[in-house]
Amino acid sequence: VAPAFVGFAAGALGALLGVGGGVILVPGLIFVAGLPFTTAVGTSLVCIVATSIGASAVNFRREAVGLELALEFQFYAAAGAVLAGLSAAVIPAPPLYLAFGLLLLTMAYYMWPRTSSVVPTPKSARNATVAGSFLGAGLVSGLLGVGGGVLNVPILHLMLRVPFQRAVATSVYMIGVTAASGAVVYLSRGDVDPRVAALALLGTLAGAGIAALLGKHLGQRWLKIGFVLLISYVGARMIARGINTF
Amino acid sequence: VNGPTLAWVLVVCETIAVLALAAGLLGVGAASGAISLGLIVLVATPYAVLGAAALRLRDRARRVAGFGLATVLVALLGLVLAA
Repeated sequence: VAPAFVGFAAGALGALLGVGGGVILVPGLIFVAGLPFTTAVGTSLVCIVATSIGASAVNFRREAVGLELALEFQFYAAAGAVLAGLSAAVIPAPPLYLAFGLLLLTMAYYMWPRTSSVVPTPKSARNATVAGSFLGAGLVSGLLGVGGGVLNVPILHLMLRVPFQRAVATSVYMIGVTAASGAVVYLSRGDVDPRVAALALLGTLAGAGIAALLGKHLGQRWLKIGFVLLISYVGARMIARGINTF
Repeated sequence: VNGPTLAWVLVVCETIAVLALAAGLLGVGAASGAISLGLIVLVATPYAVLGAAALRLRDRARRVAGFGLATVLVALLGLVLAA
């Protein structure tokens, strides 16, 4: 039942804070459910596909997805995820633990609530730079089992000058295809236990649904602070495990 | 193919996948078969929508690129299932 609880927590926190569930699912499946790193990543990618589909259904109905951009650049993100999925089989676990820990600590730094923040000005970038950035986002997604929204949204908003809300909706759609591409590789290698994935997935959808109902009654600032402290602690544990298993 | 149609495709596919996974976990029928079906439908859904979404584009090059990517990904999924 542990994967269902981890999925529930990931779905609820993801929906409340607007982050992909992967940053909670992967460490949760490793530390709570006791799964190996690659199994946790494959399971997380399957769950991300489900959350992306649910949210994209709403966004498509609102015509909020930038389809032209998504189709133009989706190839690079999907290719990155497939490459990452293939290379994950030969990369030893310790560097992946370290990379995931650093990703969590970086996210914690940027998510800490600040009273004033400088909003970066969008600058247009060349297509090759954007394509390379999406390839990198796909690699991160496929290797670490996260959606890649933390990279997709800045690429769309800051490099391609897509309005923020549209960038978020487009990113949510894109991470579904990216995660599915990575998940296929993990499924084919037998790195995903179908029963564990099914439990985690149903937990994720239940958590996201309940959080969507309760979201308005919770204080966003304190929730964010709690989340930042949690991912800082988990990030430190991932780095410690990476160093200990070297 | 418009936005609401794509939204319906997503909702229907996800419902089928969730029902199959839940049935599999509850041991209804061929439990492992139902779970496999649920996972396959789920993973295939973004590709199906990608191909359908390409129909909306007026830009011929992008439409071809969208169809091409969806075809490659579906072929990849087919190869995985065959293996």
